[in-house]
Amino acid sequence: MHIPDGYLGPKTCGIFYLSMVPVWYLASVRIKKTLGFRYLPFLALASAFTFIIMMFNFPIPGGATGHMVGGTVVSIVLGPWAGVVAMSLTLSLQALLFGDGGITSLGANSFNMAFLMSFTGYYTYLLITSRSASPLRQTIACAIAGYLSVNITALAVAFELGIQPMIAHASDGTPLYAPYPLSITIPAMMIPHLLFLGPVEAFGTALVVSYIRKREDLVFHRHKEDLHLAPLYRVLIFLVLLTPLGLLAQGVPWGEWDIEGLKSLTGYVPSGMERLNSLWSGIMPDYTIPGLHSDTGSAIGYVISALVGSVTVIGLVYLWGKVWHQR
Amino acid sequence: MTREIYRLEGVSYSYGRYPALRDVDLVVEEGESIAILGANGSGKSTLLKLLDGLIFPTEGTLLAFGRPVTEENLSGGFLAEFRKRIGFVFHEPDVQLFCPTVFDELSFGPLQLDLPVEEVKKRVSDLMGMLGLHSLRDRPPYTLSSGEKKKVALASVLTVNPDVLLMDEPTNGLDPRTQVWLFELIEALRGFNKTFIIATHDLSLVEDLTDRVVLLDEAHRVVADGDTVDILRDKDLLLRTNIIHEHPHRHGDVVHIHSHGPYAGHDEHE
Amino acid sequence: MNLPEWLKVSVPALTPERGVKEPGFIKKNLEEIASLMRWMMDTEESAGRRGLLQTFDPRARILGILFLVVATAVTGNTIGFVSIMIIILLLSYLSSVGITDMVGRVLPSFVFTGVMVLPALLSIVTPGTHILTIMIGTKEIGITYEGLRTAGTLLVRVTMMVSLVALLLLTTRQADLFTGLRGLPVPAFLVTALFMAFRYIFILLRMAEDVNLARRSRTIDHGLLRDTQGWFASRIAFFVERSMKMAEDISMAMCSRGFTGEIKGMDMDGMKRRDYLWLGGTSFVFFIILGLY
Ligand SMILES: Nc1ncnc2c1ncn2[C@@H]1O[C@H](COP(=O)(O)OP(=O)(O)O)[C@@H](O)[C@H]1O
Ligand SMILES: [Mg+2]
Repeated sequence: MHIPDGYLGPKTCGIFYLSMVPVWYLASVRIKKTLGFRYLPFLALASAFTFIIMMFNFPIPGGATGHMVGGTVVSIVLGPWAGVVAMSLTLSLQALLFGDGGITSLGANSFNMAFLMSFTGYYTYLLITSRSASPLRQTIACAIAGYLSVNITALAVAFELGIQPMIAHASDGTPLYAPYPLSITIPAMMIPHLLFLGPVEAFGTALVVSYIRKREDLVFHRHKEDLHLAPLYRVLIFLVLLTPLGLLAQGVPWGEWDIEGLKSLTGYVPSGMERLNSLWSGIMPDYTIPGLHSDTGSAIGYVISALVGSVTVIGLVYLWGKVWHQR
Repeated sequence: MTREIYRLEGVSYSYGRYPALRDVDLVVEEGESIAILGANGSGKSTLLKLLDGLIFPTEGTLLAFGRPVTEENLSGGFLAEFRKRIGFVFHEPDVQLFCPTVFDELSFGPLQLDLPVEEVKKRVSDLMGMLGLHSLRDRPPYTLSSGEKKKVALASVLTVNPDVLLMDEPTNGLDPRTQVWLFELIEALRGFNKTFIIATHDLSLVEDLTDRVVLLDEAHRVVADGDTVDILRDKDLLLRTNIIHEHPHRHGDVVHIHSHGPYAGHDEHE
Repeated sequence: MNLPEWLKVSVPALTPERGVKEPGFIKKNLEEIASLMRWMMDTEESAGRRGLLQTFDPRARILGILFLVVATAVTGNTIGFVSIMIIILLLSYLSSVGITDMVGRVLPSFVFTGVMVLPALLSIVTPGTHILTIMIGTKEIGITYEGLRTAGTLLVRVTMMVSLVALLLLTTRQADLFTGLRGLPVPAFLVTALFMAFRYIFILLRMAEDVNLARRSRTIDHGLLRDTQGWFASRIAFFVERSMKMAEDISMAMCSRGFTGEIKGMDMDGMKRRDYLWLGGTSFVFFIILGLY
């Protein structure tokens, strides 16, 4: 479900980064409050486990395997904010240290898998269990939460990719980033998730939570006061141990969104939409210098503007270093 | 009169339903070097964690530097003082080392305790020189050998310059050379009025480096507290608490029962 | 000690192999774990070499590569692609990054995107000027010029962005990466959590490897899922206890050394002239490309 670098246009990447900044900020404030000073090793372990969960494959009927995301599990056990942070850490680690996923698309990936998945999963679970929390009801709630959240996430990914041909293309309409329109990306993402990967997530989520309940006095997120470290570790370790079972069914990973794109091709109409102004051109309007109107002039204008830009960068870095030093 | 460091009165600790320490009375004075001796699972590590304020007695009272150590009490100024004065070398260096480089590892403690940066740099550099760690400065600790890890773990505690050093099985898994090095270091530090409390079942360490032994039995109680020499001579006591054992031993054709421990040579051998 | 009789008997000869085989998932798990570990080792080895990028301050290195990554992300024309391509090749050469290391990291993404983008070549997906026409029954399917452009652009862009990230990873030791991040405006607790997660991953992988190896050494497997699950169940309890203890101990070790919830770090040395030059250069490329966009 990771969107790699190069599939999303700069505007999309920028918008998702901008929208994730307040979420990350809020999340870090919230978890410090709810988890106390022990939050660090705790989040790190959660994130390590989601990393490993995503590395291994789960079995899908028909001999194929697919990945589980695991975001719902973390958010049900630790609360949605901790889920956001743990998952974002995992995604950053994958992008920065393993070159997996994407750096420019980190904002979008975090929005989908950390934010959207944690919150939809958590609140689905909460809604279903609010009236009664019998074990059966909890298990069902986990399954539904897993299924729903992974599908909503998939839909978001499909949407983000599908709008690229419309909003990010060359002047003649040729897509410059992800090439398939919504009519292709939505079925390509949703069919495997509704049919196979959704059930995987549902099954995994339910299994883990029922395991914890059997094991010990699991304290769920709502009882914040006596939240202790045990439940999460148990969940995650369980998942790590369980996921390799998926490899019993050997096969290529199923449901990576882009492979699925091949399967349900419906048609393509290049959009004739006008090229939108880039986010950045607003910052440096037109790159020309007044008084120079010839072609050479505007070329020189480009270079000079760019030079001004990089000198500004150097200045900012220098100043920032100074300020940082004096802190 | 020497200063009192710790005073434990009727201290018990249990992990949920499982008791780990029962009714411990103990007074530790400045400059003492004490071995906490006991078989596996007798509660040595638990005692050290209590002394380091990482867990708190479920029963009884624990005073450190004359002040009660409780969860509420251990905060703010007292916490900072407490952490500055007491250093804990954990059993597993892997657990204790969590920074990206050796340098970061050594500077972590003093930085958290708000020492001035220049002082931190000096201490780190001095210690790296003393322990021969300069070449490892930028290495990630998890890539080091176990002897080097142990050195780094120890150095990361020493940079804070604590008065009291708690050590959990420091010789475990060390090769003889590193072990000798460690003994020399502890011996050198003892000369400067540092207090050592060392959990171990390594009797050569106890014999060489400590003057007092607190013996725990498998019921998690203190069964003896006294002079190192006296306690190490009490073979029955050590056998009873599972510190030493007897096993059949073959010398040529003669098989005889033979106990392993200090002062237990082959003298009963004909 | 009284050994039970059966323990004293040793098996006289190898029993003929019959229906005994290593379960696939164990083999595959071990391979995956091993390949990840090897991958990290190779990266670390390459990062230790001497070269141009390696001489820059980690902060500047990360920032500069980010400028180039974003430049690649925004460029939409041949000149932009070609110039960044040249920069990548030059940097790899000057930083003694081996071709095989580079290809090894870029190839998977290249193949993946290459396959994914194939249908976009066809006229049914991207209509336009046919440059090649195939008849399937009575239907005419062609490869279009527009399709080729679309697919080519994506493939080139993805490959170049992956190459840039690979360049950073292959010239930066893991510790430097974290140090560099700490020097950038990233909250200290996030960098610490990131690093700890990184550590845990390897500890857990090693544990998983041990368990899988232990399983391999005692395998008499008839492919029964029930057996496998029983085995897993028996290991879970052990793992849970061990990892929990480890995480709690780490948390205690941090408290013991004065951690109270906020990591306090040391200021890093200032950047040198070459670092500023590098940042100026990469941001210049970025701004030029932005102008061409
Ligand atoms: N985290 C824990 N949870 C539950 N029981 C524990 C824990 N740590 C130790 N124990 C138990 O407490 C007792 C004392 O343990 P410990 O202090 O580690 O002994 P020692 O260090 O002497 O080997 C043992 O019975 C052990 O099983
Ligand atoms: Mg112990």
